[in-house]
Amino acid sequence: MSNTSENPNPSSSSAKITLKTSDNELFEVEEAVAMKFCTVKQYFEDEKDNDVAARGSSTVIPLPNVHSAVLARLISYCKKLPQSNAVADNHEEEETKKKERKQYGTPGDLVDLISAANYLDFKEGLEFFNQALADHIQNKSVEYVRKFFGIKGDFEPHEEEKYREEYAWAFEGVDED
Amino acid sequence: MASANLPESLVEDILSRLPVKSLKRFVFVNKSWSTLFQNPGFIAKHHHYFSQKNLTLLVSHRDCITKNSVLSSHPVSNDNGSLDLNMEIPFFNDDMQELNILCACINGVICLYDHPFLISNQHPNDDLNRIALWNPAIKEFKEG
Repeated sequence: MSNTSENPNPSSSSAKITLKTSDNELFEVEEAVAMKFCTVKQYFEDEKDNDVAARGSSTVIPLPNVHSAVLARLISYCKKLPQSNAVADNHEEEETKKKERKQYGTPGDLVDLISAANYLDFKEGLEFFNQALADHIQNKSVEYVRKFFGIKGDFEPHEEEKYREEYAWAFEGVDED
Repeated sequence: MASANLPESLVEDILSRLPVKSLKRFVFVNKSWSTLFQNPGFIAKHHHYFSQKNLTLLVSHRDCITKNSVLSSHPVSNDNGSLDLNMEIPFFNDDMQELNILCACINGVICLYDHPFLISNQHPNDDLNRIALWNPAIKEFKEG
């Protein structure tokens, strides 16, 4: 099965690049989209240098660390990439961005997207999904965060208790796990 | 819930995007996080994300009825968001004529200055001048 991305402007005849995921699915994507992934870009340029006759369209770039489900979501994010990832300069804009970030699923999904964006060296994506995960954990409890990142607490119970008393305000209004 | 297996540098980036309140809570996740949060590089990154996002005007004044000192914060970007912080201002007491806030705010730290004799036209006495650094976000205060 192959997933072909639509070309909104056929006359532009943009070159396509084929990406192969860890589960052996083929994705044919526009060069402009694929070049957002620096890992792909590097691979593509090395290939070109090695074989001048080779055309982009004939090259299949393997992505052994990325599952098709994750790549499909990264590509769709790429296509509606916001004009700028700059920090929102007003409250309303920030709320809109927050809502947009919420659409990318569970924290587990976000971790997959972050890992893939990191492997692909896709900077805008990494920024976006890191912020989405930060949004998710910001009101969580210490216990939730330990579990989520697989971290063991190493403070003495009495140290922890004293701290919780001293900084009680930081422990107010926390989401239920 | 399966634990997120992310490289340390990514976890650091995610954490640097959290507000101060979350960081103060997560100090207790474990000792390496508590050390990380004190790392100047981490703090700089955190400021980078937040100083652009939350431009806030801090106003200190006396309530005209109760005569109590009141501190309020007014987010510049949001007209309806002004907020009485209901915060105890360090060393502000009833005898004080005026609380001076110096130097606006540098990376969230505010310099407070109490100079009582200036107003009552007496000779300034350096011993009675008090100066302090205050970080309202983490409610910490250091007197000089």
